[in-house]
Amino acid sequence: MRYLDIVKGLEKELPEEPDPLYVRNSVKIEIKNSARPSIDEMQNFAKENKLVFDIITNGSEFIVNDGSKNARIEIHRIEDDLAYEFKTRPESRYIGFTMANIEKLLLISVEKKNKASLRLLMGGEGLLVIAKTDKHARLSLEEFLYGDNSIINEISAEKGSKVGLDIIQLSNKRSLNFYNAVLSEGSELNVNNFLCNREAKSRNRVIGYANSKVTINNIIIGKNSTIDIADSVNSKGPEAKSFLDASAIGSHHSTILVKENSSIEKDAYRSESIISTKGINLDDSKIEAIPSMGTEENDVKASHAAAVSPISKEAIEYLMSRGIRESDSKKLILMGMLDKHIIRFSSNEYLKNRIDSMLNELLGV
Amino acid sequence: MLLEIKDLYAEVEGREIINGVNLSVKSGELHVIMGPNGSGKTTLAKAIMGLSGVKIKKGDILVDGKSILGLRTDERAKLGLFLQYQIPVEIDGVSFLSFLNNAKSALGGSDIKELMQSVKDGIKELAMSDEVIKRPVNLGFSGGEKKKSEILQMLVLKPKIAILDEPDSGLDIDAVRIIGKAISKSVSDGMGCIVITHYIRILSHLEFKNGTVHILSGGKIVKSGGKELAEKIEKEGYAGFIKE
Repeated sequence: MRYLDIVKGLEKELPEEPDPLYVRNSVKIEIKNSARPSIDEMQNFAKENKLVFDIITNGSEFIVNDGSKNARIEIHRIEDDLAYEFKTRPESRYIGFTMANIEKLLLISVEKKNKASLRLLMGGEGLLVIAKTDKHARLSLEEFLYGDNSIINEISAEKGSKVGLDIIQLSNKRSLNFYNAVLSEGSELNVNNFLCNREAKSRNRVIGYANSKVTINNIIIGKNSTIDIADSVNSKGPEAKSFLDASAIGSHHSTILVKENSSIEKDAYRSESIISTKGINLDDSKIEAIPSMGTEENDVKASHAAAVSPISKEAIEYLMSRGIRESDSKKLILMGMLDKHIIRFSSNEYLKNRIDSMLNELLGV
Repeated sequence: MLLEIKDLYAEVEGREIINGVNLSVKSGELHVIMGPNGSGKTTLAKAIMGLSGVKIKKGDILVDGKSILGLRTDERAKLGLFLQYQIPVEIDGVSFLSFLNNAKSALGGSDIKELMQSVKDGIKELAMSDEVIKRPVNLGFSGGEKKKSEILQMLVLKPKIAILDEPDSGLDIDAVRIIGKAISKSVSDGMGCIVITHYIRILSHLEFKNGTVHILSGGKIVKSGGKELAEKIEKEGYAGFIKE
């Protein structure tokens, strides 16, 4: 089983120090029998959804104007055509860039104080992204996943750098997505993960050193789905902060498992960690929320909360008493739960429209 | 608009609560329903609005001559009925303004500028904080804020007939005066209104030109009259009206 190979690989202990080669050496990425869409199909999909992507080939060169000057970016295949490399130039202050249909391996390196923004469209099969941000660099990475896919992100954020990682499922096909991140002192990681697949597994681990901050924001919408997500944050230095916030909707007999774990190690004093998981079942779907928290320090702030329930009949009736139809009332309540998550995504307008359509379909609006 | 309740019998969880209520409410009329605890006041309000848990056994509720018993709660609201909840429901995540916007759209009003102006006017009239519209519906509201938020909804949504279930309970004297004034203004603008209350004090802040006080006891209206009826209850209690 390839699924198991991947999970097995990621269950190994992460190295103490950032090691961009860790996943590459540990994991084979492949999903057998996946239906890979054609480039035309993906381009049409992107066009219909007003998402802009460029198709890259070896030697592609792009000039991007950042408002004050042009930045040049070159794309090269490396390692015997197995990978692409994306590297900012020292003079680049901002690079906005999109890629479609890449496979195997993508190396991203953002140089000191540079700002980079990438949008990837995955058409299937597997991709390993290894991203490294130098001191005080900024990276915004959006990954749109279309078709059966597996994607692994290995992130190392140097001191004072900031990484945003948005993972957005575009179809209800199978998905495996994993990320591992090591946050150096004073660095920040914001992960936004949207899952709506019929079958999905997500295993994620973040290590945060002193003064680092990680925010993990999950939206899960299940429709006849089996979704299993587990996030784990390990605070290793003083004043590290972690916020894990997930909301799930279960429909059409879905099974959704959300495990959120935070551990604060000795010497990680004055650290803060909050876990919050909410779930609403629309039918006999099953959402299981398992928060867990451990600390070896006394001087910390830590809390966790999990609540799963059917949609509130009282709330629906209250909204109906103001003239709002039952299906619209349900939608208002569900969007109310999801709005605070949606707003955190870079492409929040696109995602809001997409979730709006999904809820219309689920609720028969 | 004319709301008629004809020989209504209703039960909750198999217990007979309403036992033959007859009541007619026209636009611009004020009806105050008083009665001891458990007399069926809230059940009557829920029955009019078609809320769950209340089973109609006999009789009818009509709006402009047509039965509304087969209509859903939202359809009754669209006819122009409004219920102020005694204990408003808290809805996390849904901002009060977004909720009002959805409700107003559902009732046929879609002009956001108009909505904003009426919300602004309502907030001023009820001496509320502007912050309330940014917060989730009723969540974290004080008891007084919840009552005022219900009246604010009434002012913004402009129903034809409002059923107000204890709009004055838990309010300080200034808030009762403010709410009483807002209700009176709506009634003088043509809204029909049923006010359910335990206390006479709100009556002193209501315009009582077209007002009637009803005593509900044992699920039935046992006496109707003017403001003096409420004053009598204030002095003597319900003992003389209790229906065995």
